[in-house]
This record gives sequence, C-alpha cells and structure tokens, in this order.
Amino acid sequence: MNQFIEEKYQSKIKDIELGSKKRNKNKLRIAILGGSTTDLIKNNLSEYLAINNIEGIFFQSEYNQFYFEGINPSKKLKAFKPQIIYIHSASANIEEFPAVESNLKQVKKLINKTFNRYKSIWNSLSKEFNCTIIQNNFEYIPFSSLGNLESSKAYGKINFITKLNLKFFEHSNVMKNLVINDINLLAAKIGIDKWYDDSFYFNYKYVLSHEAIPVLSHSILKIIISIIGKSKKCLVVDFDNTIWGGVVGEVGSKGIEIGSNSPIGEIFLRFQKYIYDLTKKGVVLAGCTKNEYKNAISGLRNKFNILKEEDFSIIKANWKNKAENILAISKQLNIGLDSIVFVDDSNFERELVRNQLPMVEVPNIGDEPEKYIFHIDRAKYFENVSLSKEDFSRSSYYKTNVKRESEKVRFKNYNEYLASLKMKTIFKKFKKEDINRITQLVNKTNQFNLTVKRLNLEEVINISKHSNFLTIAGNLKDKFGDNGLVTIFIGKIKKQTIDIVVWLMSCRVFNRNLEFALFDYLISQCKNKGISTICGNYIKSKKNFIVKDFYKTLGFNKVKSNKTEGKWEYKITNKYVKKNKIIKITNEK
Amino acid sequence: MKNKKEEILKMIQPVFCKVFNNKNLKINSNSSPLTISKWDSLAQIHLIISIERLLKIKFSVSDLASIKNVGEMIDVIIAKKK
Repeated sequence: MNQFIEEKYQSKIKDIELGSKKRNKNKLRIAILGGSTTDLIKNNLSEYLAINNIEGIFFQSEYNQFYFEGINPSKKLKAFKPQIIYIHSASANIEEFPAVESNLKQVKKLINKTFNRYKSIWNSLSKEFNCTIIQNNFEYIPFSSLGNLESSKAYGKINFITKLNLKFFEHSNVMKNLVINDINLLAAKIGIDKWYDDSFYFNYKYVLSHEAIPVLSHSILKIIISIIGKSKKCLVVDFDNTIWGGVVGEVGSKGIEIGSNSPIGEIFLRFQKYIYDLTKKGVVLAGCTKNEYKNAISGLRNKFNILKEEDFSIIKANWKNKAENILAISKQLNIGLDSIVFVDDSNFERELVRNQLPMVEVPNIGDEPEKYIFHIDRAKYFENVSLSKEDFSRSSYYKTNVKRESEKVRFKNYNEYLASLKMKTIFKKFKKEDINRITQLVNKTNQFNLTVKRLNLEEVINISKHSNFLTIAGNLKDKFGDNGLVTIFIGKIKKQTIDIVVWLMSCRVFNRNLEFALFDYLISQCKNKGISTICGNYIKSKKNFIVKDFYKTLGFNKVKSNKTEGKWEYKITNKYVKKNKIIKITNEK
Repeated sequence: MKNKKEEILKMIQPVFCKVFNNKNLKINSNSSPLTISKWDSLAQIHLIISIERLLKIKFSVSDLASIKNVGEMIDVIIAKKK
C-alpha cells in the first residue's frame, strides 16, 4: 500500500517542492489535535493536498493536548477558525484498559467513560466551530499477554478496542459532522507490526511508523477530498481483459472467461462485483471498448456476468480513439473530466488517455487481473463520508439522461422536446430530511452555481431555521423518472430587499427551464413577503462561466462588474410575466 | 578504523546536505544539533530515516538515545555494519 502511494505521489512531489511554489487557489484551514507528535503527518498531508491543488493551512495543538484543546479550545485555535478538525488519537491514548477479571458491568462502565471523553471533545468543538471533525478510531495493539482471550473476553484489550470502535462508528451515524478515520483497518492492511515502530514511538512519540504515515495521510486526504466534494464520480472501464478474460470479438460471448468455472473467470467475477458495489453507492459506470458494438453487448449478455447492460450509464463500443470516446462520455453524461477514472488493461490505451486527457485519472493497474481491484481500491477514488438517497440512485439518473439525450434527436424543436418530457417540479423550504442532500449540492455543484458559496451542514441547518433567510429546494420529475433534489436557492432578506447567497442547479438538469421556473417561484415568494428588490451576486470560478450572463438573461440590471464578480439588481413589478411555460410547478403543501 | 570512519562520513555527507538543504554543508565528527542550528527534532527524524534507508540498518531506541554527535553516530553505524 505504502509502495503504491509512494509511486503515485513521489514523482509528482518532486515537481511541487515542499511548501509549493505554485499558488494554490483553494485554501483549507485544518486543525490537527494530536494525542502524539503530528509534525510529519502534517507535512505529508500538506504535500498530498498540494498535489490536489489545495493549500492546507495548519494549526497543531501542543503535544498531546488534544483533549484539553478539544473541551476548552484555546484562543489561538478560536482565532484560527478551522474548517476541518482532525483528532489524531490512537490506542496509546486510551488511559485505562479493563483490569483482568473485571466483570461485564465494570467493563461497560469503562467503555462509556472512555467514549464520553471523546464525545465531550466532539460536542465542544462542534459547538464552537461548526465544522467537520475527523476522528481516528483505535488500532489493535501489537502485544497480547492474554493471547486469544484479549479478543474473546470482555476484559480483553482487543475486545475493548472493538467495542469502543463500534461506539465511535455508531455515533458518527448520529452526529453528522463526525467522520471516523478507520486506522484499525489501515493498520491491518499494512500489518500491525509494520504500523508500529518502537524507536519512533519511544524517541519521538509517534504512534505509528514512518512507513505508516503516508498511509494515514492518504486516508485523511481522501476524507477531506470527499468532504469538499471532489471525489471521483464516474468509472470508465474497458471490456476485453478488463472486466472479463479474452477478446469477445474473437472467442465469442460464450468463450470469454467470466464466472466460477476457472480461476481467471473467478478473478474477473470478483472485480465485477467490486465495480457493481461502486455503482450501488452512486459511482456512474461507463464502458469504453474497441469492439463492434454488437460484440461488446453480446459479451455483457453472457449470463455469468455480474455487470449487466443496465448497470452502464453509457457504452462506447467502436474503433475510435479512447480519449475521444471518454471526452464524448464526459459531455454526454455532463460529468467533468476531472471526475473520471479510466480503467484499462492495455498500457497503450492508458498512456494515450493520460497524454490526451491529463485531467482523467488513469491508474496503472498493470496486466494481472487479480491486482486490478487493489490498485483501484487503494487509491480510494470514490471515498464518501456519507451516502444520500440520491447517491444510491445516481446511476439511474445518468442512464435516463442518456435516454433523454437520445430522444432529443427525434424532436426538431427543443421546446417541443421539453414539453414532451412532461416535467414537474415541487419547490419547498429546506426540510430536515433534505438537509444532507442540500449540503452535498452546495458543496459539489460547480457549473450552474452563481456564487460558489460553500456551506457546511451546520450552516445549512442554521439557515433553514432562520426567518431572515428565504430558502428554496426543488426537484424535477419527468416521464423518465425523478431526478431528486437538483436546485437550491438561499436568499438573505433585508427589509424589502433579498440578497442572493446561493443559487445553484445540478448539471443533470441543465437546459430544462428549471432555472426559470425557480425564478417565477422566487418572484411569487418575494411578492408574498413584500420584497421589491432582488440583489444578484455572481462570483466567478473556474467552472461557472455558464452562468456568467444568467442575471442578464433574467432581466437584471448590472450594478457593477469586474473580472471576478458581478452585482446585479432586479426590481419586482406587478407586470411580471412568467418565464417558464414548460415545467408544471406544484406548490409546497 | 580511521579509514572506516571517514568512509562512512563520506557516505552520509550527502544526506546532511539534502536534509538541511545546503549543498556546501560539511560535517565532521563533532557536528551536532549544537553546531548546526537547523538540526531540530524534525530534521533528526529525516536524518535517521534517510541514513537507515541508505545503509540498510535500523537504529534501536537506545542507539538513538545515546548518539550526541556525528562521530558517535558513525561509531554506532560501524558496530551495526559488523
């Protein structure tokens, strides 16, 4: 694992130089509260963040002060205003293990005591900072004087750690801003004996070895990337010798190696199961293979496949250059190239895509099928800190989107096509059950996003409760299915004026008139509240040029505008004519 | 013995240059955190790890606790290399 990470990053690190000469645009303030020394972890994480174009600004607690800094944050930490807090504790920080022969009740009491110590840290930090907290769980210890009893008996240390970890996990399901970093799994992956290093611990007070630090930092990196919504969204796979053995065009659909009849067939089966599970958690799957289309499909129809045609949002089976195909996939699915991971057994294709589409992540999976899964898994491309209802059904949205696209050509007039979709939307205030999805949209949406304002969960909850804010969340249904919540609006009301804080729309529903429907709805809401002026803000980002002139389209007047932002104003009159005539708006009950 | 010491010194010299980011740095057996101001605990870790990797040895807890300067470090290395 370590070796993999080193291969992947070391070469890039060379160009970047410690401290980074390049000026990174995205700054992130991260507080590390350590139960042991954290300098090397901080440095390592900082390098990894720099590779991902994030400039980490760090605060480190004094040595082993994580508890006190947690329950009673210092002035320095308060002034630092962390956006993410990472609590780096480990089994070495467990103050007390059960005495041998303690009874169940005593052990339970000790578990609660230890757990509550951490809970009080999380509660205090959440109250003070409103930010995401990443918390290590506890790794198994390298020595077991009780042998197997360490695991089987309640007073055993492994048993104790297991229960404590379970409590951490359970609590992270209740406390939405708490993310557990599973160091127990990380240690298991590289081996507990490698995870620990005595001279490193006794001399420098590191609770993990030099070798384990990149593994830890990489895990933290991936959690952070997921928190800020930069995890990969789409997996593009080749077919022949990537998801099954053999070349279907040559050996026929029955001749490919898939299924439990042969070791190779089983390896591909395992790989397909892994990919299938990815699609179930919301990763969009696409196929890209050099094949006659009908051959590729016949291969997929081999009954031993776990991956079926319908698991793919789109399949490009032709003889075109794969970079061209991936570009087309990206356009058709409206997923950025930087959100795509491409997997192919052929070094030639990998190199080609790497060269022509450097934004696409192309792991070096080698040519041994049993190793593919490790290369993809270890890179943690698709890390999620949580999954929403929309994640679970994302693949189907994209798939129906491709259907919608293919229907488009049947209609000469685009509006005629839109009308045929029989679209419906419901606009409502932010509801408790939607808060997670809303937060996700606020942090992930890049293109149709006028202000690119990011908000964390607590901020969204606060806004939803505050009467000074007008909030709108809208879904979009059509004859192909429900797209779920796809558009969000937040406005701050100041007397007769409303200031646009957030206005965004998922790229899945571009060019469907939903933005106009929302504006109509906004106008009616404003009239109800006696608001006469709408102030439109536009903050330019790398990806939101699509909405550069959006306010103008709506009829706003420019107040001021420069290279990085624009301010616009709209006066509401009684003569307002509705802009959307296509989507049926159902008002909130 | 003296040759051996000089040989090791030559081998680890580039490590010091790299860790302290100074091409012209020349170390001798008296070099220590007292003579090199940038030699803090973080630099110490970098030095130790780099030397361990370079010479394929592993310092023990007590080795590290006892080493006061480059000369003593070289003595430990020679003992380990035997």
